[in-house]
Amino acid sequence: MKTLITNVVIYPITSTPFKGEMLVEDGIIREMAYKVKDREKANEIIDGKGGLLMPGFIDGHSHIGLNPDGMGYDYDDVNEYSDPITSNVRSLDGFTPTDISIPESAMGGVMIYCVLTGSANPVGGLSFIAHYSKDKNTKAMVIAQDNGLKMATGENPKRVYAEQKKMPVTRMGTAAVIRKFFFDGRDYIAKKAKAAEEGKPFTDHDSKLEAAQMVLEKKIPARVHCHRAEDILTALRIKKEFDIDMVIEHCTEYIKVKDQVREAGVPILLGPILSSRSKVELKDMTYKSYKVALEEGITFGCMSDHPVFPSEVLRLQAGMACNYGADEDGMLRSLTIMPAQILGIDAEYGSLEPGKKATMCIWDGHPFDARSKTIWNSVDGFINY
Amino acid sequence: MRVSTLIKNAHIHPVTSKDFIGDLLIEGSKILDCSHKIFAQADAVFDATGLHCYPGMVEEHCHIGIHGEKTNQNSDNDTNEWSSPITAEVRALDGIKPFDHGFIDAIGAGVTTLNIYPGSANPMGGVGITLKNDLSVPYEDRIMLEESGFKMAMGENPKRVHSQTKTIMTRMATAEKIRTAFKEALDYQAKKEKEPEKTPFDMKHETLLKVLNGQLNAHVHAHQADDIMTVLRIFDEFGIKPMFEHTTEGHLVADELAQREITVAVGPMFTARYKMEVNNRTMKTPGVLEKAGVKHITLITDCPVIPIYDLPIQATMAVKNGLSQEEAIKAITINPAINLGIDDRVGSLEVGKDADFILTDRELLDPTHRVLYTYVNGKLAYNMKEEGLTI
Repeated sequence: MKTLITNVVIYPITSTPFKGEMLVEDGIIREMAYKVKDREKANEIIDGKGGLLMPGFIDGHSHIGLNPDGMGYDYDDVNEYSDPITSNVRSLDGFTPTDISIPESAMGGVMIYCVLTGSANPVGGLSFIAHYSKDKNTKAMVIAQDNGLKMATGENPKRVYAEQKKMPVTRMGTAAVIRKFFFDGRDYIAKKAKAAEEGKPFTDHDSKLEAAQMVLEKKIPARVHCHRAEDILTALRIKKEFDIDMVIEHCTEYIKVKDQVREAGVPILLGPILSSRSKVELKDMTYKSYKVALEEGITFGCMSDHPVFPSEVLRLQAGMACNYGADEDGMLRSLTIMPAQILGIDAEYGSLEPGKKATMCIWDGHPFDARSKTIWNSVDGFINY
Repeated sequence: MRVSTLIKNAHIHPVTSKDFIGDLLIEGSKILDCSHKIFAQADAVFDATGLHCYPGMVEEHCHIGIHGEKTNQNSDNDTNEWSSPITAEVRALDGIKPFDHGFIDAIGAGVTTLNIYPGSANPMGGVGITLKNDLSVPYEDRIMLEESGFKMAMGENPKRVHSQTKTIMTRMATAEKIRTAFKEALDYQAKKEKEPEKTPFDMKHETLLKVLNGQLNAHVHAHQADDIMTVLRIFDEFGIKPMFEHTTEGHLVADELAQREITVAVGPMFTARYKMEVNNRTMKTPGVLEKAGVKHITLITDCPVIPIYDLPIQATMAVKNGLSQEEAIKAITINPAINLGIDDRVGSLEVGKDADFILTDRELLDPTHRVLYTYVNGKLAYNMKEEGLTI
């Protein structure tokens, strides 16, 4: 199956935009040029009507499907707040693929999202990555499972567990809970190693500490919710103490600690800024973070934290960042290739290059303009509309 | 390159020796010379004629940054991990908001070293931290002691807080929780020695073992004399020595404290008698302790209980009520430094120590004094003429 997309301006993201055509074969991008070579062999031709062909946007931090829009408490599966450590839960098991927000997000160009558990628990649960599918079927949607372990610092765990009179009720407590989790994880790894050494079967399986092991062995990163500068610093301290990979989520006070973030070499997922300063730890929230992150040259993604604001308008947050001085091309990268790198899916997604998957859409105008809309999209080559 | 600055003709109060009119030479972050006349080339020369030069003050007990100011919301308050009575595993390090306004207040008041503790809700509250109040460097670079002391608490606060968690209703239970925690830590140590592979790492016990082995000093919040005596009784059982914080009724047990060579911090003395256990508070306490022979008396603000700039004014009031002038200055400089074990770096103006000092228009114990300049680590951190009074 060969599809020719013609009459478009191609935004490869990793190189300069140009007017031309693209040939897609079996869901994989084969060729991009002003005129592609095998254009006569195409089984179907899509006329882009002079629109902009861009890779599908990637929302690196979303709760889409965990609390489906308009479904109320019964469908709220964001936070397993029964215990401060719930590394044994998976966001996939709380995911509702029929969430109305999913097709809406695709209309807004967001076709890939990493779905994380909420921020009530210092150690929340395992996340997964999915892409849009017309089939509304989890199996067809999931790209990667258990790709990161959500953690949280700051106000939320304090608030939730103060009500339950359980640790943590302070930032100190949150750090202590996370440290204990990793200390226990270390002991768990040692125990397993000992059983293997002695040739005995390991009979002390612990589903919570299995996740700790994955993080400590750097198989997956810790995805740490931090707004305030001190919370970012605490996360970086824990990263250093246990030598783990980490992504800082939200990173609201990024500018105050940009040097430490750069030195630690951690990627960040910035946002949501297209919302109100609804709590104290958001007091110093600013769109300028995007500009600074681009100037610093760090890897970062622009994220929605859906449903904090709808993933559908993620592109408008990026556009607002441009109002505050961020570079437009840089903001396009923060919706595509940079979050793909953070999520480890950049070999297949995040830019338009031969060999990558044809997950993309055609815009009738620049996506940062609120009036623009997608007129066509495809996921892994499957054309949706 | 290290920059040198020569302060000339100041009235220098080294604190550890007699005051004199003379010069102070600093290079980089250290004091290079401090004497009557210094003939040396310096990158900058500062004529301080008519000004007083003191070491930067040391606050031994405050909650700046951990109890955030200004917003006055629970969100900014990380002082007490009150979820259970024994939280030895938590550290003030992880609760401090380094951009809090309290740090700026402290610089303006001339307080250059801050020891910050968890609060007093728990019989065992967690580990404190000592910071150099150098706001020009990142938080982690301000740390002088990552584990400066182990905070404990007696009396009303644990009772009040943990009657909510239904774990402590009386002073008897507070004592019991402390004894049990120490005993469990010793059991952990024994188990670890016997079966290291079967003993999971436990941060709580590890911290308590540092206290029991003398690596980490216990600083115990105690107001009433009976609480002080209870602590001494418990610590005798485990062969360790406490340091007392607040010590409101210290004057009632002054001889006992002197005889045991126990050091104490007194304050804050500028609050109302808002709870029973401070009913016997008197500004005479520091003077009485001094006369009884208690060494290294320290004055504390417990900021934000009272503002950090009350630190020298409290010293003035203590002098008015019997404390010697010499000891009053020491109580906010070298004595807290000794008690924290950082007197090799801060607390006095001596060659080789950190260049933390203040220049004031009048003597520090004169409450009308103004801090004109604050230097931290050899850098000008506050200039009243340019910034105005920040407190």
